[in-house]
Amino acid sequence: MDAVYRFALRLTGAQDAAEDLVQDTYFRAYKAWGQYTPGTNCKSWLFTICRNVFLRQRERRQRHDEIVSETAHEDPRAISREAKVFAASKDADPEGEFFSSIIDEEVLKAIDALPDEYRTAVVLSDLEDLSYNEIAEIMDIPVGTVKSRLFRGRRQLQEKLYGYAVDMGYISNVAGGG
Amino acid sequence: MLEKLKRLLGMEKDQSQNGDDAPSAMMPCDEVRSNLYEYIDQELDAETAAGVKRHLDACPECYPLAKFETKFVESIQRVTDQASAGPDLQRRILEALAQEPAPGD
Repeated sequence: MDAVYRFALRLTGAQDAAEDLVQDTYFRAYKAWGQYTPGTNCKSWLFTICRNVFLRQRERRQRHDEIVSETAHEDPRAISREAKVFAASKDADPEGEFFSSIIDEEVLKAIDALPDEYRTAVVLSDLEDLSYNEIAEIMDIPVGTVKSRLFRGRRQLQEKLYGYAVDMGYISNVAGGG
Repeated sequence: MLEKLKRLLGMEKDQSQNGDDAPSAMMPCDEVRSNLYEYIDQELDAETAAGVKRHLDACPECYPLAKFETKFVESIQRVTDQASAGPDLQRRILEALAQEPAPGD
C-alpha cells in the first residue's frame, strides 16, 4: 500500500487527496479482483487503477493542467540537441556532481512541479523502477510515447534542479556570467 | 615458419574482410544522443546498445554527456520517498472493504 500511496501523492500533490485516491483505488481493485491475473505484476495493476481513478476525478473537477503537446512525428535529432543543462554546467561541473548535493525533498518538489504526464512517467520510471513496457501499460500509451514523455520530463526536471543548484551555490552559473 | 606466415596472411585477410572498424559502421552522434536515456535505462536491444557503447568509447563529445546524464538519472533514482500510507489509512481501507460483499468469481 505504501507504493500506491506514494504514487497517489505524486499524482495529486496533497496528502488528503492522496488518501482518498488510495482508498478509491483499493475499493475498485477489490471489486475488480476477478480481472487480476495471478502471477502478473500486482503493483502495476494497482498503479493502473490508481491512475485511471485519478484521471476520472480530474475530469470531473475540470482541473486545467498544462497541455502536453506531443507530435506523432517528433524528430529525435531535434530533441537530442537540447542538452541545455549539460552545456551550461560542463565548465563548472562536467560530471554533474551538483545533482548529488540536492536533498531528496527538493528533488521531490521539482518532480511534483512537472506537468502531469511527464511527472507520471518520471515517477514510475525513476522512483518506482518500472520498465518502459510496464509504464506503457499503466499509462495506456505506446512505448514510444513513454520514451518521449520520460525524455521531456527528465530534461525539465534537470532544468529545475540546475536552477535550484545555482540558487544554492552548488554550482556557479558560468554561462549566465554570474 | 611457412605455417606461421600462412597463418599471418590468413589473419590479415580476415581483418581486411571485417568491416567493423569502417567509419560508416559507427552510429552518428545524434542517434546516440536520442537513444541515450534508453541506453542508461538498459532498455535498448543488445545490438543497438553495443552500437551506442562503441560510439561512447570513441566520441569525445558524447562520452561526457553520457556521464553527466547517467549521474543525473542515478541521483533521481537514489531519492527516497519517505511517504507512507500509515496504519490509520490502512485500517480505514480494510474496514471499508470488510463491509463490501466479496468480489464475484
